[in-house]
Amino acid sequence: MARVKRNYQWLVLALFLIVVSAVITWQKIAGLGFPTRPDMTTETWSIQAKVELERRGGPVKVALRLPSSPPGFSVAEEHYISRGFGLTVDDSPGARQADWAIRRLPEDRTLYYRARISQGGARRDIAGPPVYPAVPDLQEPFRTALIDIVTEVRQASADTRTFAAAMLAKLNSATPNESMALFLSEVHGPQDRIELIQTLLAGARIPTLQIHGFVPEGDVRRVDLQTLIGVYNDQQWLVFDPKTGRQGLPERFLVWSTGSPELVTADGAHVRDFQVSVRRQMVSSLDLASERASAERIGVGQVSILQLPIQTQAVYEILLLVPFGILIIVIMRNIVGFSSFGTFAPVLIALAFRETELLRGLALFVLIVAMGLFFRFYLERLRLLLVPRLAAVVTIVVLLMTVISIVSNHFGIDTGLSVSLFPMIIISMVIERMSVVWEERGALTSIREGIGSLVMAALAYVVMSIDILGYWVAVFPEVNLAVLGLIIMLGRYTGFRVTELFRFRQLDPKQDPKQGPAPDSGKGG
Amino acid sequence: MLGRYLRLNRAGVLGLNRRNGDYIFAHNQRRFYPLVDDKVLCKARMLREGLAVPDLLGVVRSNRETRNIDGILAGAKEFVIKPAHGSGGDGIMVITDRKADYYVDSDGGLVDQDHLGHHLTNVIGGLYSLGGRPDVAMIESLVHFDPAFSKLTWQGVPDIRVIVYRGYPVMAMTRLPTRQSHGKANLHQGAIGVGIDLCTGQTFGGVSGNSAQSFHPDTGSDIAGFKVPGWDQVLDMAARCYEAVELGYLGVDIVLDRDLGPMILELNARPGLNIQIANRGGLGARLEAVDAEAGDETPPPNERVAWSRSRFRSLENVAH
Repeated sequence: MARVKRNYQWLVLALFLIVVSAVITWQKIAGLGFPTRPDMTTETWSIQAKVELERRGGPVKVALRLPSSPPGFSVAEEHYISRGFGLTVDDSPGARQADWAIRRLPEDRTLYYRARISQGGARRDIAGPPVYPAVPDLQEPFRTALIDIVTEVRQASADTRTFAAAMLAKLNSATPNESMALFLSEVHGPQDRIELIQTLLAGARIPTLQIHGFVPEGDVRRVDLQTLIGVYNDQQWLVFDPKTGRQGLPERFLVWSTGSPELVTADGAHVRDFQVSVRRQMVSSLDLASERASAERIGVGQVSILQLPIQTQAVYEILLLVPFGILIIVIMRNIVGFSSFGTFAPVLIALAFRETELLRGLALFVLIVAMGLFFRFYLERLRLLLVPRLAAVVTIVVLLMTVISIVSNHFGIDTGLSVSLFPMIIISMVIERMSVVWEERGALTSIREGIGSLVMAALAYVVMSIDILGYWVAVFPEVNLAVLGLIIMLGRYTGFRVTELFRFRQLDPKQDPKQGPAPDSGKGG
Repeated sequence: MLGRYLRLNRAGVLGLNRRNGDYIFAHNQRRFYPLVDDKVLCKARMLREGLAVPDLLGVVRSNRETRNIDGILAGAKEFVIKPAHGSGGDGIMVITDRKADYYVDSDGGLVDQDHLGHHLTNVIGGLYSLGGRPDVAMIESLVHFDPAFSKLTWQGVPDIRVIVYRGYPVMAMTRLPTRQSHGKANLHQGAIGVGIDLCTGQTFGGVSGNSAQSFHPDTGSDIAGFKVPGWDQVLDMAARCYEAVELGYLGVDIVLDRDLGPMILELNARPGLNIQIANRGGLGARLEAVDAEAGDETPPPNERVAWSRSRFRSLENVAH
């Protein structure tokens, strides 16, 4: 059958828009942590590193290792407090540090680094690919012992991961064998133990890395920094706990720095005390996410009206809701089959209802339109030309609004009538159209279409005043792309409208066409 | 509800969305719209194509000209004022006589000069045109309907609406003015639509508003079984309109004049769907039948009419 050529470009476009909208929204929620509700809060930690310096005389240089995009966390609001010191921050990857310098230290000083960290950063690797270490050149009997251990562990393992795990198990075993006992006899502290692991793994030419950090929890004045061991398996860094041999970065472990265990080094001064403290803070998720978005300069995070000045935001919060109101109109007209005065006039009326609240707005609207119609019928008798007549109606509407406001104020009722938003032009056009339809098609049709407009306006109002929707369009303006997609889809809906099911009821083969319902003449098509 | 949706769909009933989306957009190019939307242009085009139309008495283009209405009328006592861009019959004023300084309208009411002038300025101001754009008022001679219709109408002029799809007449009805429609032939103003058998030109049941109607409410006459005079000519003219305006989905309104025979009153690029109720059958099925028949080459009008008459017979719907 040679039907109309089918073209599904509209469908592709509509689905594309919906998908784009969903992807951006998902990015913002899952990637940047934008909350889906306005009252959501997120746990953050305010961390502080404090370096107390004791004066020695001469120029002073202090270097403090800093967290640099730690996996699973994001760092924001970094502050350096260092009166009199010159500060440079070295952002080289894997070795981020703050360098403070001063020519002469007049007294003992304390330097601070503060930052706010929160969970939700990208899951990046801990460090870049390393250089492969040479087999350590040890003295006997250590040399033979190392060879023994490596051979033994290699036999009991399959790859780097299992090798490292087996090595740690051997090291941590309650009954170490002779070779291991030899090495362990040299271990006097946790740091020695870490270095021993590095030596043992270097015996198999496996790159290792010290990882320093802690799990932020509650408020802690002096955090114990933990050291984990990173093992490179030719693809990525695997993390092991040197004490337990457990593999994987512990949940919520904040990596402060990697490599050298010395977090702070000072030239020309003595570090009397160094401490890291943590304080838990609940912060609005939205603030946090926007901060993170601007800090990480991720494109989708910028798609929100929250960066705009406050007054502009208020305007856009309303504007961005309009497509939802319009979607309601499209559904009511093309799917349900209602008709109204003016295609989108109901949306503008609905916006006016936002100022007055629904019931009051409806009452005001009906009152003004009814009175306006009365005057309009009188004007008809004066036979004014079209434009002056419209102008007269607008003027009358303005006067009516003023009178209503004054009278209701007199009786102590606040109409909340905002002159700026209550659409007098729209009302005037509705009055004009209603009066024309009234004369041409009868009062019934006119009133019915008027009520149709009001019902649509009320529906659009109800949808546009859903609080969560207002929040969503402000934070995720891209949802309007999905609305656009839906509108495009509705634009190709060629099925019956609901009202047509009644209109064409006599064509329903199931009904006897001779026994149609009583004629309801006067209803137009 | 869903059941009826499916049954109507199966019965080939055409809905507004599908009419617009699948037929009007696909077959009516926007650049041809002015030809039908502007009644003055349309009349000129019809004349060029040798299709009969009511005489144009004059066009009132400005408020100044409304004062010179007598000059334009040149003594005509019967005339019709139409907004050139009007739709749905709005703004049409039918004057049937003149008495002293008054005009007599189709309801028999008296209209003074002032009222007539005001109506003209309203038309020119765009009150009845799409989107309220300034318009012109067209004044054409009054049609005297064929006496064969006299028992089927309350004043006014009954007309015949033929839907022409890709040049093929697919459905027809006659619209009978009633007291309620003030002598106008538009269904939404209260006129009755009566389905016509395309093959024979005989009427069957009618529809008022959206409901069935078997007799004329004002004359009491039975409206079924009436044979439209000059049916061959009516179909031929309707089919030829396709060549004239190149709109694939077209409503052609034809009146039968007592003396001058069938004349094209106006064309409509978005004809309404109540014709389906008047014909107790779906339009969609017939449009699909035409799509199956029509190829790249469009046969001449007489062949198209012949095909339609053999295919769309009587009450029974199109058999596939």
